[in-house]
Amino acid sequence: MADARSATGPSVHHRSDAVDRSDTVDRSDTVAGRVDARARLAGLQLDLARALMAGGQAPAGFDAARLSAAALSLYRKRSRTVAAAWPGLAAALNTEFRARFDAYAAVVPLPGDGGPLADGRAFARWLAANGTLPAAGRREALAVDARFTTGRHGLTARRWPAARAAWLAQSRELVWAVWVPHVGLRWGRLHLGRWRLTS
Amino acid sequence: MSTGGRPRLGLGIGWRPELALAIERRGDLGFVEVMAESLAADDPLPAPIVALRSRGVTVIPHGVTLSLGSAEPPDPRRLAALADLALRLDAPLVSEHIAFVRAGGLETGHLLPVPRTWDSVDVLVANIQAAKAALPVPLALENIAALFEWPAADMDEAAFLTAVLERADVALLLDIENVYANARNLGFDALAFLDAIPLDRLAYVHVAGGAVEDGLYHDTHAHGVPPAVFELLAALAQRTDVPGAMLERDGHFPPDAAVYNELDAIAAALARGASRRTSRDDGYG
Repeated sequence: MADARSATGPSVHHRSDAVDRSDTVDRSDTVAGRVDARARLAGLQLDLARALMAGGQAPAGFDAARLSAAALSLYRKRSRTVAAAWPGLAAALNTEFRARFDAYAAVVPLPGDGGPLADGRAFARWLAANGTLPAAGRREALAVDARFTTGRHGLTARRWPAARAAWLAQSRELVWAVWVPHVGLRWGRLHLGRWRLTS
Repeated sequence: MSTGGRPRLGLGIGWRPELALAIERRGDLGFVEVMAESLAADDPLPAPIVALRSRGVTVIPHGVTLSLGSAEPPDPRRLAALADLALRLDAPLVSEHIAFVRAGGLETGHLLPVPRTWDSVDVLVANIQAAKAALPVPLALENIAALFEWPAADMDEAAFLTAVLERADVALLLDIENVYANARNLGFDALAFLDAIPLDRLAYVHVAGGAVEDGLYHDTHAHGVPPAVFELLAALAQRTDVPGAMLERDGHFPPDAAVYNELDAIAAALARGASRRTSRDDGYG
């Protein structure tokens, strides 16, 4: 991992020294040079990302304890931001949230598009497939599904109006969400025997 | 009135829905910063943001997902979204980070440090140039906090930041708490760091709080700003004119009064530093 080309000198503190690289080849001016630099960087970064996100081994030369602290911090952030983006689901799972999310996060990587909202949608999908998705989670999923399509990389905002509905057996109600671009989300519930419109 | 072509922003804060009322009621804010990814292209701007704009408050979009430090070039769709947002907000600049968030299709959900090598400088500069070409307004880049360091660095953090900013010719969003965090966790002198970076490129400043856990300082944005960070802010203001400085708070939101106190403390630290600054020509470089 150590780069044999190495330093332009001792650790620099003076601004102008960092800019003056006359003693090294200016590789960025060549496309080939930049492609090489990208390839080298890609390998290094993938190794680190795997170590932090997928429980992979710390690459050579890193302080393992520091990486461990960083990995924990990243995991907590993932968990915390999903709970914040899906408060109904988090509240419904209550003390079960941590264990369920741990199990999910161990097998499903963070989606590329849509951040914690997309991560939570994937978590809700995993819960439905691996046990129970609480009613609060189903309601929140409706709202997300009305506004977004789910693709391979995560959530993509819909360009056209969409509606989603679900029957919640436990509370005996039909819940729906309608989304119209530039207008927003509207949703309602039909309880057996009674209309209620919520926006 | 601008400082070397950069707008005078004044006192600011990171806009969050939880702080919307407190922000609306604060009369002396010159700018707010919004998380670019929270404002979808097809949705109308949140009413509070529109209200701030109509009051003359500057709104700056701040991205976290461009991943300019990745080996891959920035995604044109993400660049287009940021550009579009800048126009919709009539923003004088946009900001992002010197960091990577994804590698080989694996998302990390967090800003990670790039190796401090000339390879990284080359790649970052190329990525930044691609970003600049796609953006309608100037770009400012933020230094991040990291709990760990890459092995085999070619240079220290100040030199790396300087190399990237100078070669890419972009402005600096200096996160003063990240300087404090890294100096503390990675063992360098924060004041020497300030002396070694191109402060003439300063666009604005982030001020935030964190907490210590297991001997490491974590940049949580969910705790009060430590006194040492305010002192570092004063030291910065002693060294250079600061066009704008803002409070960042992302969680464990305190009562409005506590937020206002921290904004007041930012203003006080800037004033304290400025009063110590002697008139002189910029002696750097």
